[in-house]
Amino acid sequence: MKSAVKIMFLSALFAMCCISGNIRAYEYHGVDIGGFISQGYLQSTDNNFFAETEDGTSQFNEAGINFSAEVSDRLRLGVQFLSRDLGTIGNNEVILDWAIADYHFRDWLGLTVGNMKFVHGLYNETRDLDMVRTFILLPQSVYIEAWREAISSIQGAGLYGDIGLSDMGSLSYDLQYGTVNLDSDKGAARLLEDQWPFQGMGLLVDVDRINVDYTYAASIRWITNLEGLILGGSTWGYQFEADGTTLLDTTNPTAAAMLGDIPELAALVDPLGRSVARLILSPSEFGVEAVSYTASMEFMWRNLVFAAEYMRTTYNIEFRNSPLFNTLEPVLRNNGVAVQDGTIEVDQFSSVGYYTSLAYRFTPWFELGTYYSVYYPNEDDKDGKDRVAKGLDAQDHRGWLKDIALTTRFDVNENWIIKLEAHKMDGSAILLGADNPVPEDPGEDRYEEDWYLFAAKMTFHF
Amino acid sequence: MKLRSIPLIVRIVLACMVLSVFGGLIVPAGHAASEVMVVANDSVPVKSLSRDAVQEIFLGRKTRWSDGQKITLATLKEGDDHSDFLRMYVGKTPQQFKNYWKSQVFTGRGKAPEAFTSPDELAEFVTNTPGAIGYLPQRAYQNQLKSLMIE
Repeated sequence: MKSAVKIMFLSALFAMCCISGNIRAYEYHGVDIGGFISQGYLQSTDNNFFAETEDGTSQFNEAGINFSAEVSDRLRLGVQFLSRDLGTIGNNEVILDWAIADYHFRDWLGLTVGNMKFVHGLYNETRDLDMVRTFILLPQSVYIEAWREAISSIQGAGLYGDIGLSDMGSLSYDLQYGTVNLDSDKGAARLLEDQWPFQGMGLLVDVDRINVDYTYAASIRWITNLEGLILGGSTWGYQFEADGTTLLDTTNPTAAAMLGDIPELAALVDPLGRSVARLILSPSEFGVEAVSYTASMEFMWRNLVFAAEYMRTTYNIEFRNSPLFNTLEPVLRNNGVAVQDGTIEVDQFSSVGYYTSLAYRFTPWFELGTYYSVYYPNEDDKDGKDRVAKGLDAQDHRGWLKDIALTTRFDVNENWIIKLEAHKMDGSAILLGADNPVPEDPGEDRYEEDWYLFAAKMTFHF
Repeated sequence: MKLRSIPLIVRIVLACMVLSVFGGLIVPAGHAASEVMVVANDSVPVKSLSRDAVQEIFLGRKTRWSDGQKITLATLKEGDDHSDFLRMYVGKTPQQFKNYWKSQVFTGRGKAPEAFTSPDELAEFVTNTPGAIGYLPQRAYQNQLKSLMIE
């Protein structure tokens, strides 16, 4: 069934690509049809960036097709199907990216219901649209790839509008409330696994299911009277529960010792478990609350676009596994971890990220862009020393990622775009453990601190 | 893989910049503006607009005239008149304007303006579409359509 949907999706896209030669969406009996298809290539000198980039990968693409129609003067219906791939994320499954019914009461008040694009920062709503921006990869400090599905769209209802402020410009606002479908094989789940704080003890987890209780997002933009200057602020929040399979890595000395020293632990382990990582019979549960705030600024002057954003996200995470944590309570206590009723609460922590970017269009066909982006997964541990001390990571440079990017964009014609991009990276935060397994050679580092990432992408849009 | 790719990328970037500069293809900072006038259908209930109002209309932030009539946008696809209008009244380059509307359409936020290859087509559309607003070269179309004064 999934392959049939994929074939229909690609066939429709291909047909549209063949008949379209116009920059506007194709129109058929009052229905506007737009689409894009892009194929990229990623290569890194070290570290796998959400795919097997060290070996070079073409598992980096996006394709979308949308249909929209104005049913009446005030009511608009629309839908977009999207397929994307980035390593193990997406795998070109066709998903309903957005599907909305939009009723525009007044310019200052509109109501949208359905599956809406999630408002966050300046560019989150358009991050799938390669053709409307200079860069291939948005700055990872504010637009983290692992969170992409989690903040791509929201199912629920939203209010929006534009309010004139006379001589002071105008305000645009969005309020959204609903929920999100988070798959256990997507980036957010992998990120959650990396937050599991017992990896140093040889306890691993594989997230099986995520259930989002609620999500909200709000954004306000002030289009100032200084031509080209936009100031904005946005916030979003999440609460979700997850559960996963817990494994004991018996190659880890601490885990092997625990298994020998604590008879109750042996009773929790699957007797038929594998020789290296053994299954622990009781599942682990997660409770996660995340709240994020972003301040944004964009200034356009003729062919120059300058942007800067700052984002801070605060997390409250707790892990529950009564049989396991109660059994390991003495060991955990010795490692500074307190167990209360089979629950471990991680101290609240905040990640921070910021970037500045500059892009200039030299000619109608050539644009150059650059940005500097900085991200700290824990603002109180910017040098990564605490992570190492707590056994969360073996290398302190997991505590930051500083990225200098340089991009060239070539508009071959109205429909075709080619981009080339280079990143000089310092640090290894945001990289996922699932993409960067522990090396078999104990003398080899799992992550490299200084590395480069190259990206190329070609896009067709209509 | 070592850093062999860096010089290649840097070479491509530099080559494009040099080509741009010496090929005279740099986007002109401000060539002599053609005389563009804002035109509207006879049903439009205003005779003048502020420059900010023109910007809000062409960016889809203002969608109704004062009598509740829906605003329908008409634009040219390319050319100096298109560029000059966008620069003078919307504060965007043609590329930025195109990207803005692509973003609106591809995120479900709006319907792109009607776009015409020739001023004649645009003039005909504005004449025949209630609530329509567009822009035309002043010299060729003066007194042919209702023109709005921009304050």
